[in-house]
Amino acid sequence: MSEDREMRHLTRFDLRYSIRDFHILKGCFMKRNSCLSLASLLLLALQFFANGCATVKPYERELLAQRIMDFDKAKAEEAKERHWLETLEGSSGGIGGSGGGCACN
Amino acid sequence: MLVQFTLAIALTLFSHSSSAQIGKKAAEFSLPAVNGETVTLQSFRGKVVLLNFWATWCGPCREELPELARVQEKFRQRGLAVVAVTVDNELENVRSFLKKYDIKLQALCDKKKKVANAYAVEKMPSSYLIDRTGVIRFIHRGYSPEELKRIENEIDELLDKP
Repeated sequence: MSEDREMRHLTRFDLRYSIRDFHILKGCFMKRNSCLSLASLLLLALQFFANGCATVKPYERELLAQRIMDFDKAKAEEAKERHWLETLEGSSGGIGGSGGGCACN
Repeated sequence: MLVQFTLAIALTLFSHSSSAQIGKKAAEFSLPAVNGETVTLQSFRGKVVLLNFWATWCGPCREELPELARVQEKFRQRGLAVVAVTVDNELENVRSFLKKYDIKLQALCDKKKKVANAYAVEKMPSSYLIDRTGVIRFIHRGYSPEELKRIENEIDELLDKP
């Protein structure tokens, strides 16, 4: 008798959890739908706004290809100038870089 | 909603599709040559045309152009025309470059970049191999000695066709 009651209890328990699972699944499905909808809206928005972005085409890079546009072009000159400044000011390592003037690096 | 999603993806993918494609008719143009005369693509009909986009400020282009002059000499008798379209703003740079390296090619100036735009040039240099009927058969982007070898083989193949 007590076993039967326990079984009924378990069934009610299972049913409650099944209903809960159903709601969770339903929620997930709806969430997935809304996510897809949002993604498509974002893509459409991107479509409209991306057209406003101007990219420099490969054949329009004449000015960008000039030496003056290169960040690294003056590396050697900069090193010389830094050395001169450090010698003059006695500030080796002050600008940055490894070592603090102890001549161990 | 699915339709909306598909439409959005399709628009994103195909909004920037190139107009110059393999198997399509090459876009007609009329450009001034370095020597001043006006040249049209139509005037090369019946020949295999190697349409090359280059510039003096582009390193690989500077490497490739003397090689293209050599290819022109190699296949000239069989009906190849190498047309080098420069997108330089300064014509003087083009003249001095061609003179310095003694390059004898049909060099045309596309200062307004209209032709480069029509051919949707994605890389510098870019070469479009056009057959005797005016249809684009091969597109090459960038330069490497291996790429040039492939171009030569393709030219050879196209020249054999009527």
